[in-house]
Amino acid sequence: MRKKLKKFLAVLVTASLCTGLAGCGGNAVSQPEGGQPEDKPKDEAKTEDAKGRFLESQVNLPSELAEIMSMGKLEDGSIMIAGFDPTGNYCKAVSSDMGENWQVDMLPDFSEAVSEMEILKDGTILAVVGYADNSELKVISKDGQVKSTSFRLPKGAGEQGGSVTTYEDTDDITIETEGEKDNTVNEQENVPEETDTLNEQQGTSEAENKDASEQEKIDIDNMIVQADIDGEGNLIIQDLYAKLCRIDTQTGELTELYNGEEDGLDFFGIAGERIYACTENGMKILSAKDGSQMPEDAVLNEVCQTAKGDLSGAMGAYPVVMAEGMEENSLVYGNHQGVFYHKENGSVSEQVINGELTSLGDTSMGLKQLLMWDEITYMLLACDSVGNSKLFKYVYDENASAVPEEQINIYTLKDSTILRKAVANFQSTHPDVYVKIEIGISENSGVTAEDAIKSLNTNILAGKGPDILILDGMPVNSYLEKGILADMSGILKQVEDSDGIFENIKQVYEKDGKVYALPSRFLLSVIEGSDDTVAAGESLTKLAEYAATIKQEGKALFYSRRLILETFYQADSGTWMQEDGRLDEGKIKTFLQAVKALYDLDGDVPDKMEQITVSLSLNPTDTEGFGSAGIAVIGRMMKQNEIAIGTLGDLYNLRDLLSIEAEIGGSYQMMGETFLPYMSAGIVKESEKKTSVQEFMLAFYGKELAKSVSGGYPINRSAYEELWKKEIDEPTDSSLAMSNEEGVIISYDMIPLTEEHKDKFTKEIESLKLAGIEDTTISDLVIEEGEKYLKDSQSLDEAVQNILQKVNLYLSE
Amino acid sequence: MKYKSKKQKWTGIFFVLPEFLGVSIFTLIPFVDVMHRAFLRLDGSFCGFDNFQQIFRNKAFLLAAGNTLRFSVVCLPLLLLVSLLAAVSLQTMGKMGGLLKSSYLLPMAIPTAAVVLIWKLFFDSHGLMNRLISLFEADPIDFMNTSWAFWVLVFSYLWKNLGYTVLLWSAGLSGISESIYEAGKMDGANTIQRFRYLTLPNLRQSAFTIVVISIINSFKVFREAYLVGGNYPQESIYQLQHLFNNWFRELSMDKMSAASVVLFLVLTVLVIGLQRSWERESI
Repeated sequence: MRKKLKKFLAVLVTASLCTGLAGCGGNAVSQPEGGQPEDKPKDEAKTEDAKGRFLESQVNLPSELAEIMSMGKLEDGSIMIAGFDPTGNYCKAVSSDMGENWQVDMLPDFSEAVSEMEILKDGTILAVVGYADNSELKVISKDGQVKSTSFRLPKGAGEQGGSVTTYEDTDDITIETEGEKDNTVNEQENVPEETDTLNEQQGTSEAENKDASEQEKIDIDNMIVQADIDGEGNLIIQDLYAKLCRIDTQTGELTELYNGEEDGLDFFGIAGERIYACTENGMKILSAKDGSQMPEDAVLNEVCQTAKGDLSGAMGAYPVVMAEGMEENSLVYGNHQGVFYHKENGSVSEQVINGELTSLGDTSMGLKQLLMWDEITYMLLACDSVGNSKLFKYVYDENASAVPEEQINIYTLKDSTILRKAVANFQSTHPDVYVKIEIGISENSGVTAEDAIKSLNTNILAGKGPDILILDGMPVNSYLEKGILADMSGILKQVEDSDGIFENIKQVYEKDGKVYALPSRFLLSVIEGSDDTVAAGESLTKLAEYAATIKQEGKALFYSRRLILETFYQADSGTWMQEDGRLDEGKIKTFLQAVKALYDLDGDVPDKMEQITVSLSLNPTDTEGFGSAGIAVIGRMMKQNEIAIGTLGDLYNLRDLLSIEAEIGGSYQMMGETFLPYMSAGIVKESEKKTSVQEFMLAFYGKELAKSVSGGYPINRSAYEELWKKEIDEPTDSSLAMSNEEGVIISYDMIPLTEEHKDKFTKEIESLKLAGIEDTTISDLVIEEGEKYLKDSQSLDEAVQNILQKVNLYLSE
Repeated sequence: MKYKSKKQKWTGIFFVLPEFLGVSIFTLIPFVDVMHRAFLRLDGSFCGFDNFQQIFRNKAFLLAAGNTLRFSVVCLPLLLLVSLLAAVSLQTMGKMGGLLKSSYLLPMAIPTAAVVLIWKLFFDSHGLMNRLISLFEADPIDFMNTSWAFWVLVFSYLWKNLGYTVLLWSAGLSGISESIYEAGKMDGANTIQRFRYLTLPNLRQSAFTIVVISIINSFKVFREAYLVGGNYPQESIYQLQHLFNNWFRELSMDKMSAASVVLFLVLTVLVIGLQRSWERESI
């Protein structure tokens, strides 16, 4: 009996273990953001049998409309869009064939700007003209009759009432309390004096003194931030103080529906009789009739929380757009993850359109309005990163495969707007290819770069690696040595033949006529200041000597002591590597000495500046190619620092820099012959023959993508030329104003860029010969030891020896 | 009888099978794969002993292997000696010894990250040790960035593993019959003679187990070294695990596999050698 029991136990244990092991692996359960948990096969490309999905197409817009403010579905099934033309005149366009043909009509000329526009089902247009206190609601009927109704927004929050000042020709708006009005430009007679004094101090004779009295200023107590219409055609608006109000279009009567004083209000959407208000504490569901609050919806709360990280709303669009669903108490909402259908208080949302397969996945695109046209059609109004309106149509095709059969996998350590845009652009032209982005380090994940690279390496070894690698932050040299990357010279030749490439940059990466990795964009390190400063910037040692002569007590030399090391490392490191692959000891010593001398000079400056920049990084990957030179130069203008050092990331940076120089004098020059590579890519060898991969890389280095994104200068010559052409031929008039710590308002006009600027700048780029050391292992080691030296935790010799020991150890591996 | 033993055999096999399957899937099969990769390039082509030649020419490997060997040679005898003395002392203390034995195990319960924090508090250039040193008006020592880092690591290893080793020795000591000691006393052997001629020979089997376990534990000290010094710590504490970790990140699987095979062979020879020499002595 006991023996039989023993045998039985033995078999049972074995069987349990085998069953348990067999249960490992299989399908992963994933939860798309804002959607329901769904079982997804790991390899989506294998779901060949599943059919039916929404296909995206872009609707051709009438050329008369420069920007679209609103769209609406009319009772007769046609679509109406309204906005303004290139000259600023308001107009509308109607199409009865979903955008194939448009009938454009002008709207009445209004004396003031229209801040909001909404379209009702009967073709009536509601236009809010002017801002806040003296706003008018214009109701424009389909046949052009206009009825005006005045309304007044509620008084602003706070005891002092507050005021908002805006200027024509500038986007800058400052909010100041009444108590400070004496120190602001509201006191017009003060500004010219202050400007004169500032110019005298800075010794410029060419600065133009902008008299603030020449600019029209408008005092505003409150203003409309967002507007929409409810199911009954009433206008629902959000004001500057987080209040939601309904405006009766007949009487102009204002009814407050929600006061966001406690919970705030980020944005809202309307579906039928429900208002969905995204607040700090989740999504509040309100009745559009009386503002009464409905029970919360867990799914929508999650949507609201996710939306907080989405900055595309900053462009005047919103992180989430909502519309009424077909069923009662249902809504559809769209974000960068896709379009979802949700029944109120339901526990799930159905993902109707996958953002990854459409332009919705392009995080640089701003979402403005969504309409569920019918059960098989959605319309999305959006704008790109430069404000161009786009209208997308999504139509269900039951014969299209649920997921495109062909798949490209792209791996990147960190998410990137440029990559998302590249993918969205590619997919719009290649709907039969699914481009999947795998991000190694997602926000708040706690995964380090090393962990992510190890996981990637494991996948590569297992044969499950990606097709394309975005190499920023990765051990590129190792991948080159191991033959992981394929030669891209064929693809680059095509780009060169069609558009041209900066040859000097390409040559840095060329080995025996082959190119395995190449940055698609780059940044430049510059030093800016007086002529003497710029002359001293020739070498770090000279700069350190010169800086000692101009140092004044209590005044900073640089806008951040902490970032000195990183900035100079980026500028100087290109020359450190010797022929034998080891670091030059002399150069490291000189580098550390110079940086320490500069760092020590600023030792007696208050830490306020340090605190401001404590979370800043200058790594292009971390900043998405944002150039830091602008901040440094503004600091020089504000007299916070004497020497400006940083990176130039785009033509706007350059224009900023040149404009400030026109105001206060000075010049700039490149630091060293080094450029900072950004958005480097490579093809994994196993995938080099895939046509779709080659086509993607052609698009990645191509002109269209290069000129439509910001963050670094494009390596594509045509795109670079076109960006310059646009800046030179279509300069935008603008000026910027800001106040320094003393409360003095400082402003400057943005000067237009000229051919001369372009020639000089291009020559400077063409003279660059070295890439800043991309290897993050080396940069981390140098900066770690450098920081200890700057803080006097170790001597110069110790720091140099530690750097050499560690880096040489790394190189000898 | 034959029938009975066959049944017993199969019962035993069934009981062992789950563990064996687990060890095979997670240890044996991967190791065979590693041995296979040691003779291949990353692209899968056969390269003979090239990878082995590479690692023996690689300065980083030689440094790491030297440091690992040096660490083992210094730590193991120290650990064995100190823990044995501690175990013998505890045994003579009776009940008090039992309480103290538990306290020896406390360091093992402290998480590595906490140990590293304590380490930094003590040995940082502005830490407690340097404060003490400055009281004697001596120059501060940068423990973690000089060759002192090696001794700090040794200290950490001894401190952490002493308790466990004491426990193992104690188990061995308690297995020795009291009658042997009584007989020894009656024959006129003093304490040291009893220790040398009675205790030590009877601890031979325990010693073998303890040495093997201590060798394994000596590799775990990498965790502290890594948390303090990162991927590239001070030279004297740069060990084989650092190198393997870095090679993995750099996708140098060929070198890593070859080095793993070399390490396996060295350890196998060592363990077998120890076992044989102990067996010979016991005969």
